[in-house]
Amino acid sequence: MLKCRDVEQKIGSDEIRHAGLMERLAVHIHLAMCRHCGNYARQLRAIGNAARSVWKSSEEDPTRLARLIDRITER
Amino acid sequence: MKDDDIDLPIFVARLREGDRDALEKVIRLYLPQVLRAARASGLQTEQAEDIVQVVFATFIEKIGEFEGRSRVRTWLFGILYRKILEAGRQSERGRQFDDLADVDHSRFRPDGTWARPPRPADMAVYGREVRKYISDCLDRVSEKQRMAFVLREVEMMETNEICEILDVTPTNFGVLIHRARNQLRDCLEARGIGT
Repeated sequence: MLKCRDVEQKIGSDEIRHAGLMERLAVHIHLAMCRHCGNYARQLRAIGNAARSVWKSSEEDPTRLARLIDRITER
Repeated sequence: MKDDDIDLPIFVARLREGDRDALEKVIRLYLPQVLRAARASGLQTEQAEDIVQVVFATFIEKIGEFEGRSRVRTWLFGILYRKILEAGRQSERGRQFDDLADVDHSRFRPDGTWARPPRPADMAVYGREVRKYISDCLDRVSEKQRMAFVLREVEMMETNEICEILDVTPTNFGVLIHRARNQLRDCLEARGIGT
């Protein structure tokens, strides 16, 4: 049986992405049964989503971007 | 021009010859992404624009050495990462961090259960709060850990590409991203978010 510490390690380090089927299944079963680890997984997902929305939504304004491209290509 | 065409040998050959059109295509395609990553790494708008200029100047200068073994994007991001480290060493952000020290396991009891379990939170509220503080909290994370986090979460790159950019093993990447996330959670918790 996986302990919470093992599940936190596998999710937090992204090890789970490269894990085999049985290992992934074991983690999913644990997550379904353990609300603490479920909360942990949801928090990490929310943190990732927040990071994307903060930096993807604050794209440079096109004029600045065009000026920067000009500065680089002028060389 | 599609992302994939950039990595075709025929295009890479044009790049290596210093073909202006080819270089300009790479600049136009990747500049927004490199700039975004520079800002997510903690640089203010003007600093980020300055560093991106240096990155592309280095790219153009060194393109003859590019052997096409990695993707053009990976190579560019590798330059960005090294320039950010250099800039960090020259500023007060160049503090010493022990990037690969063991992940703190005191959050668990000896039997492997949570000592301080993550609290259930209304995820919509949690997400809003995280967006407010994530930038401040990331400022406390080392450049290397932060870059690991940015490349994974903002740029959504695969592990092998991130490892090549940061020049680390997949195991080391696991430690870097894990520590970045734990520090973020701790920082957010210290502000009463998610508790």
